[in-house]
Amino acid sequence: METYFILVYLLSYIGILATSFYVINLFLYYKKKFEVKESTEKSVTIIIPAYNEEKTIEKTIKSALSLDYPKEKLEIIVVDDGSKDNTYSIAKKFTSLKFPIVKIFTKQNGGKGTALNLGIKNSSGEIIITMDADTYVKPDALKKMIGYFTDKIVVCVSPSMGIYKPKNIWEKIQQIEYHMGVFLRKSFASMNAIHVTPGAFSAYRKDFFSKHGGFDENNLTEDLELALRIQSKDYVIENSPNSVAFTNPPSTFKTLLVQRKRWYMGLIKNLWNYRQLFGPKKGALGTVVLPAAVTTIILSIILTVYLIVRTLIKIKDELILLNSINFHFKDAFELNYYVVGNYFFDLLSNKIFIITVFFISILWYYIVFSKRKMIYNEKIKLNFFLYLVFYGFLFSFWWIVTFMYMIFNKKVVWRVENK
Amino acid sequence: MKQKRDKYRGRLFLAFIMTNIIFIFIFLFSFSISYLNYQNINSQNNLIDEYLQDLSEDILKLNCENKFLLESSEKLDNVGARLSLLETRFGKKDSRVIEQKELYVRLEIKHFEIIKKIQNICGKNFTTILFFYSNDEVYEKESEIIGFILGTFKNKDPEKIMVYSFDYSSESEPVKLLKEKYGIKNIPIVIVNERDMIFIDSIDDLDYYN
Repeated sequence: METYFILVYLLSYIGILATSFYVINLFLYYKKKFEVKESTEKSVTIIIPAYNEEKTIEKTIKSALSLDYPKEKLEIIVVDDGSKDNTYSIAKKFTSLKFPIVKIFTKQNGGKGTALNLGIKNSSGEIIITMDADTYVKPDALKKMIGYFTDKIVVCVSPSMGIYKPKNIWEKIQQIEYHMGVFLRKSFASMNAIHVTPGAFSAYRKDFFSKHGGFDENNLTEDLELALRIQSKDYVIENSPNSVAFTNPPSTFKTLLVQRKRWYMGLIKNLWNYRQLFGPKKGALGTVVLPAAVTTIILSIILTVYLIVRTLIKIKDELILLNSINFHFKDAFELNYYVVGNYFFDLLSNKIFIITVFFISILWYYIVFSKRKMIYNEKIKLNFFLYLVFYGFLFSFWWIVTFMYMIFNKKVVWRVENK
Repeated sequence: MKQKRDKYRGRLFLAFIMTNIIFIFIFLFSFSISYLNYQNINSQNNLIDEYLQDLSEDILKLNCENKFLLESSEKLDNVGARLSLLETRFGKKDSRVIEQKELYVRLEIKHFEIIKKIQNICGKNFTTILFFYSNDEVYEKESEIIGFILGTFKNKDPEKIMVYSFDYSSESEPVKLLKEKYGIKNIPIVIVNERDMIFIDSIDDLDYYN
């Protein structure tokens, strides 16, 4: 059997095995567990670190202020991380008598981790919410998340993340990726295997920071590091799929690449630092979820590169064929009953085609789950199509670039600075 | 307060079972479609046989206008394409593939003989092409290109151009006889109108016969 087919079958088997496991866990979770009740018992501090976010900061603060939560139990801390634009002055407008719960701090630029730690240090709430300065939340998101903290073992709760009004192709592809995340995060939560919490909006028990330290200030992905640290200490990360937050994603190919390089480099480094999480001691996280994630990444890259090379060779062969008959484009439309009939047998007897259809159905099920939990009614079929066509290539491309950066020891930056 | 890790092995085992069932289902589905293709080829072969029977009888009655001529030729081409698909799915050595290929070759030869008779009796002018190909790795690519060229050439005038393809490596007796008759030594090769033995790499090489 060709290497290509061996790889496809292997990847498919791992993919179906992991997916079956996730679906079974989620099914059993909903079968035995009651819906967690909303709660406003705990005092909450929302920390919004901001660096050059003048375009979105106002809307973010307003969104935090509009949360359906008792105001006497809510505190909003904006930390300006040495912005070069008007972020500070815009945020400052909210620190008046009209909004006594809003506090603003400013400091020299030192990175998101430093801003969050400053916020934690000055916070009074039992629960810390980290909120990106380009994120907006549904009003009921917070009280739904706080409900999970009734269980003392829970130290972190993640929400469902969505993309705020996706406009171009890059944003639309990310929208579907985020929808996939909604299903996976809930499924991972059902076996306490969440290893990434969205930095854009997550809730943490403040006690954890007091006992085990704050955010790692030198980490490329401080939210991922924290999630892995929580797992390494055997605490529980929950997920509240009905708590919905929307974020503004990178909107160009370049900014998206910069973000992914940072995420992936952060993932590699943090997984290496927390390699003790692999193995049976950490249950499903160490035995299924993390190994499946790593294997899928490696196999996907190999397969995509192989597929691209194979397709290029195929195109070359096709061109030779077409050239041999002095091909004219109009001939391509001369379909008849026999051609259609042969395609029917060819496609439907092709195992890889059937596996592909199966996977697309699973992905669609993820979307349906996500839309239902987020009560999201926008039409996304076209975006799903774009995702199916482009995401595999993009995913492999981002990873290959990240590996190149790692091999040649090049520095990965946080963001593209506006000149 | 710290948690005890969930027992997941039972669920993982269930996932293994589910995955294996899904894989078996996928392979079975694919096999069923291939089997459907096999049955379709079988019925098409039988239909072609019936057409050719009618054609033979018509020729004997000196009836030169037969609607089955074009239809049988089209069906032959289609079955040829499906047979190569069946060969890919079931493998060359599969008894069902060998059986249908054998039947197909006989039908091709029968059709070829009828065409020759029509040429003689009815004075019609056909361009007949015998194509000896091979699926062996060394010749496969070249055979595929020539097959493609011949298919396109036939489509230029399907009522006049008749293409018959034979697997050089076939153990079939009629193919062996044909190879002997035309002295086939090198492949892939094309014999036009039983006279000209030519090697082609472009459709332009067939212009003369159009």
